[in-house]
Amino acid sequence: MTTARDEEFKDFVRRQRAALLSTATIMTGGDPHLAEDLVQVCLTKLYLAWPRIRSMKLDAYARRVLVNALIDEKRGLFRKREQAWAEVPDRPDRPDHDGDRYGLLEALGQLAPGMRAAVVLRYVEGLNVQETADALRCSTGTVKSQASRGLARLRELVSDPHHSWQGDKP
Amino acid sequence: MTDITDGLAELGEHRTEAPSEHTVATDLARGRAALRRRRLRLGGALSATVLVIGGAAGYLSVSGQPAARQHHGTAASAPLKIHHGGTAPAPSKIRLAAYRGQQPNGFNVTSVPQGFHLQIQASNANSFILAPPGADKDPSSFVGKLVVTAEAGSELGNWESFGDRSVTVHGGHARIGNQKGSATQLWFGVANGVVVDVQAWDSIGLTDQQLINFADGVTTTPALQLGHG
Repeated sequence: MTTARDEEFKDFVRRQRAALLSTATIMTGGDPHLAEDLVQVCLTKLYLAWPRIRSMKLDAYARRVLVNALIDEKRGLFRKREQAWAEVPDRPDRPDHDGDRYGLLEALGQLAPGMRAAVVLRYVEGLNVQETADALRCSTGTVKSQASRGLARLRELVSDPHHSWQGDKP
Repeated sequence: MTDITDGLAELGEHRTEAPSEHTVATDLARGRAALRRRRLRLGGALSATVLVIGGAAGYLSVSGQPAARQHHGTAASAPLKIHHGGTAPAPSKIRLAAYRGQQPNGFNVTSVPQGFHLQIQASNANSFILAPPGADKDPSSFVGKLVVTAEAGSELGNWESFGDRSVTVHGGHARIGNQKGSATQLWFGVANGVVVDVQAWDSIGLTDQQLINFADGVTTTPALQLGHG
């Protein structure tokens, strides 16, 4: 049986899934598989909370859930980093025709998750400082400092011709 | 490379394709499965505190009337009322009545829609459901019910921007909004940064003012335990 919750949720998925996946892809430094995982986690949490959140600004709430999923995932990856691998894991192909975009995505991937989220929400999604602070549940001052430091770090990374993109992901 | 902010803005212009109906259905199935798992986990905790009033005449009386008479004019028999906007809402067919039943843990309630009873009390004392006689007892179904939940304002985020308009509850700022004609939600702050979220299904027939009056009668007690997540 389809409920009102189901119909409203499906409408939301049709309208917002592509945007969420795009944001997640950027927030993961261009990893489409991790981005899909994050979006699935995000949508499942939204469905569970639907009766409580249906009257909220759903787009903003979804962004917050997505950021939390990213940070939770990075905590998991931090633990996984200690594992030994017999073979080098597969990495996404780097498309030659879109080097700047790919390089910038990889540079974003070098930032700490919170800083990356602040940069993506401010400069990719175009949110203002207050909206970004709401999404990240932090003060506007923290958003400004994180975004500013994130931009400075990105400039360093993309302007360094000797930087190894395969290097020191946190 | 262009300026870094231009490059970032251009990243946002690469949008993925709209999801297929199969993807939408898969997302829904994933959510429903998660909801079933949650119900299984919560079922035991909630069932211990489910209060089935039904035919228990006089157990939780409203306005001091015998339970048999309370069925007249209750939400269950009230005409369906849905806000679609553009037309003035019909006068409410249900009224608030003084509540003399068992108080939910963590809250004090002074009035309820006539005939409504305390149906479910969350075991962690941060939420309760009021329902008319005969309502389904699914703790995850809020259709035709009045749901009250207290949460930390920090968990909710910028709740003062929720909903459609500002109203006053307990003499303070509150927000109210209606979503697609299914339910009306009201948020108001209480002490220590706690926000109370009241959701009334539109089929109950409460007007916005009645919902505000109901909220004015809801206070929290020291037994309140906030939920998270």
